[in-house]
Amino acid sequence: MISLTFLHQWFKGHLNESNLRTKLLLLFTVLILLPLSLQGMVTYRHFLATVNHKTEQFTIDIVQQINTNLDRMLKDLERLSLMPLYDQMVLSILAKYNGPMGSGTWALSDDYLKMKLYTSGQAYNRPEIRGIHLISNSGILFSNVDAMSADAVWDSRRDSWFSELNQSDGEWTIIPPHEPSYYSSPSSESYISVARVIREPKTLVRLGYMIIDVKVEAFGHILSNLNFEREASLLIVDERQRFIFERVEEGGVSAYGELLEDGQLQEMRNRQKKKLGSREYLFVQHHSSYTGLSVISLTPIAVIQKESHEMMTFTLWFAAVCVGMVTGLAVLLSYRITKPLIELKKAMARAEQGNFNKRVTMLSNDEFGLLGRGFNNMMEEINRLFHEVFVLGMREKEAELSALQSQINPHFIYNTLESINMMAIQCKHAEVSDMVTALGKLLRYTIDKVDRRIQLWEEIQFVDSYVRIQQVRYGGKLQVLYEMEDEVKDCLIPKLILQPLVENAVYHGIDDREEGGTIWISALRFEDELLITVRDNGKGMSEMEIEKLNETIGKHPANQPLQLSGRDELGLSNIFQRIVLMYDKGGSLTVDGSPGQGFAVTITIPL
Amino acid sequence: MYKVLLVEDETVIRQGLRELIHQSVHSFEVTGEAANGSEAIAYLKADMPDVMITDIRMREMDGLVMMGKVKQMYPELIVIILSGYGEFVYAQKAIEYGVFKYLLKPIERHELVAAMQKAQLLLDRKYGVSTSLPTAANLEQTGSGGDTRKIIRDIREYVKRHIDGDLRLQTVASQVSLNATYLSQLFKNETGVNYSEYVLEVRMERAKWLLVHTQLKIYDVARLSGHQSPKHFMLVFKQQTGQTAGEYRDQFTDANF
Repeated sequence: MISLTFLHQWFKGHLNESNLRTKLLLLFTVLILLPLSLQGMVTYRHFLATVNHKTEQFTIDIVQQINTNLDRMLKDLERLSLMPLYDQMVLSILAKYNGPMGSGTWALSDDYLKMKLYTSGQAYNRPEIRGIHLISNSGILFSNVDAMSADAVWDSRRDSWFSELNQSDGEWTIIPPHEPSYYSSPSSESYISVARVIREPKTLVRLGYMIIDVKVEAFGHILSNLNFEREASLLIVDERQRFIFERVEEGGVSAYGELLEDGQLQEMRNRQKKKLGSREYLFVQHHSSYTGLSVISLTPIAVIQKESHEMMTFTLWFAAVCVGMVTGLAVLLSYRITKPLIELKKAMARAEQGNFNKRVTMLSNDEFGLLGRGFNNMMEEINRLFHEVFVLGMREKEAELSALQSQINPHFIYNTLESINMMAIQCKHAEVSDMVTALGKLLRYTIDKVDRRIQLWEEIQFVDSYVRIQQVRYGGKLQVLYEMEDEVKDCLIPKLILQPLVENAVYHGIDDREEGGTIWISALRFEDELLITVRDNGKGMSEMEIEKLNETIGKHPANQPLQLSGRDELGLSNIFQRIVLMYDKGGSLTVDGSPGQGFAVTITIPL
Repeated sequence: MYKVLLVEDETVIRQGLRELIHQSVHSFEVTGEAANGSEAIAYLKADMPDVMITDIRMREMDGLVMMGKVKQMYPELIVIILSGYGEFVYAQKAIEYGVFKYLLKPIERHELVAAMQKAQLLLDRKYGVSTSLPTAANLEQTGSGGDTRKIIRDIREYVKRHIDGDLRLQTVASQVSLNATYLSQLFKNETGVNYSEYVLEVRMERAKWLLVHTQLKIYDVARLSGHQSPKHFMLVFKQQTGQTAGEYRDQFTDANF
């Protein structure tokens, strides 16, 4: 919950400018990736700790195992060093060559042979053993090694390591790597030796020494048998921290000197990190109470963490793939969700630029669909209204414009007409006065502020002004009869709708007739409709023409610029368009007539 | 005869209007003409017409401004506006000033005539006149018996309507085609006052009304109430009321203006 509110805040802070699609995209991505990555991280950390712990534990176990193996091997060798004590023959031969060290010069070849057999038997099938030597007090050296490669007589005082053995009192001793001088071919190879002072069991008198030289590789074998990390270093020291064996990691450095220098060999506890040179190591030590040896392993931390590094790499890759997939999914989803909205937005933008014909086509059954439908309906309405206002406005401005094109102030015109009127009155010219006042009314009706709808009687009055002028012009040839029902006098009709019809009737019905003609203007109510008919008794039209006219009237595009032409159909179309725009389908205009029987136009207006 | 003031800056139209009124409405007479608002105001300071016919937009002074002033001077004056402007603003103002009729130019003859006839009805009611004067033929038909009262009433109306005109006994008698002496006798018998006293009384009432209801100068009041000279009027007024005309007016001024 907290994280959600936080997210919400964050969104509010940073995403006010971006659009919904981006917001959704981010929301999806964050909602999916945040828990995913959190969980991944926690799991990973836990896993890492476990893996590292396990690796360390494993290292410790291995070290312990190594020490155990070492114990077993050394125990074996200790037993081996005990064997002469139970062999009377060996004891007697050694006793034979007693004397101070260095005094011995030779021994019987028979004794050599016996001893060689004995030691060879001991060393049989023990490849780790370089040589088993029995040395008498006087320095006679019996060995399983052939006479060519080992001295038959050896003064032990030549070698400093021997003194250690000398000082021991019959316990077995492990001598750290040294280079014994009794090997005749100086191979400068060092051996680790297990040695014992041999004493007469009953008297405990020293009879000589037994030395078992073990190849250093033997230790290496112990390691290779076990699954010890190749890249780790292994160090074996004895109780006195003397160096026994070291296997250095590939490309590594010997750690013994450094550890010894720091004096840390004793106090170093298990499982701790230690820096040597530039690398960090895990330091593990195991001490064997039996042999007194300590096995120390130094594993580079990097090696320990190698597995977890691999894991991390894998996790990261997997996460990247997940992020990619989630992002793709989020893109897809937000795209799907916002597509109708964006379409709506585009449509709105177009509508703002004045294009009301754009409709939303994607109509699902959700709220977006509702929005889209609402928008479509709104656009229909706007389009209709725009059409009505715009086109009607054009129609109504038309008369005004044509009057204003002359750029004459209407007031001036009225005043001038009044002057003419008054002159006529002074000269007692009633007709002139009538005509002028009628003209004034005509002008006023068309020029003055355009009302959309006026009462029928006003329009009729206006028509009458027009008719009176025409009557003066036609000099009695023109007769106009009104047939009005009283109840329709106050009905509202579009302004200037009747006069053009009368004008049509005058010009097309009466104009070219010598004998003149009559025009009937009738208005009556039929149910819920007002019917206004303008009929003349002029030359009329053929049925074909009537049909064609009726067709063209209905088809004439309303947005076509208007022309003030005398052509019937255009004038009639204009009137029809105005009626349609005002009353939609409720109004109509129809023409009727026949050749020689006059012509009639009927307007229907809903009440 | 009711008096008409024409205010119009176009001479042709003004003359035409005068002609039209002369031809068509006989109970009215154009007694004053003005070419603009200022002239009209100047005229109105010296005379009180019954009807004012005015254009609404003229050079010099705007018709509407003039209207405001005129309404202050004569609240009851009947005003007919002739205008080329059909704008709503003007019509609204006109209603505010209680204009009697607002006609649009070019005016139709019968429209103006109809308006004038309506105005006449209003004025007749104001002056207590029921019909126009009976002709001699009427009088002969009715005889001199029970219709004496009607004759007297007609004569009284005639006097009221021609208060600043010629009201000498002979003139009135010839108007109703009666012998002057007979008429004098008839009047005295019927009303209990002499005809000349009656005329004097009516003229005095008219003068008092003018003094109270208008701001006309004293000598204009004298002329409009049919007195031969302002001097004569002052004398008679003082005799009748015991006050000078000025004093009489002052005591009503606060009440009316």
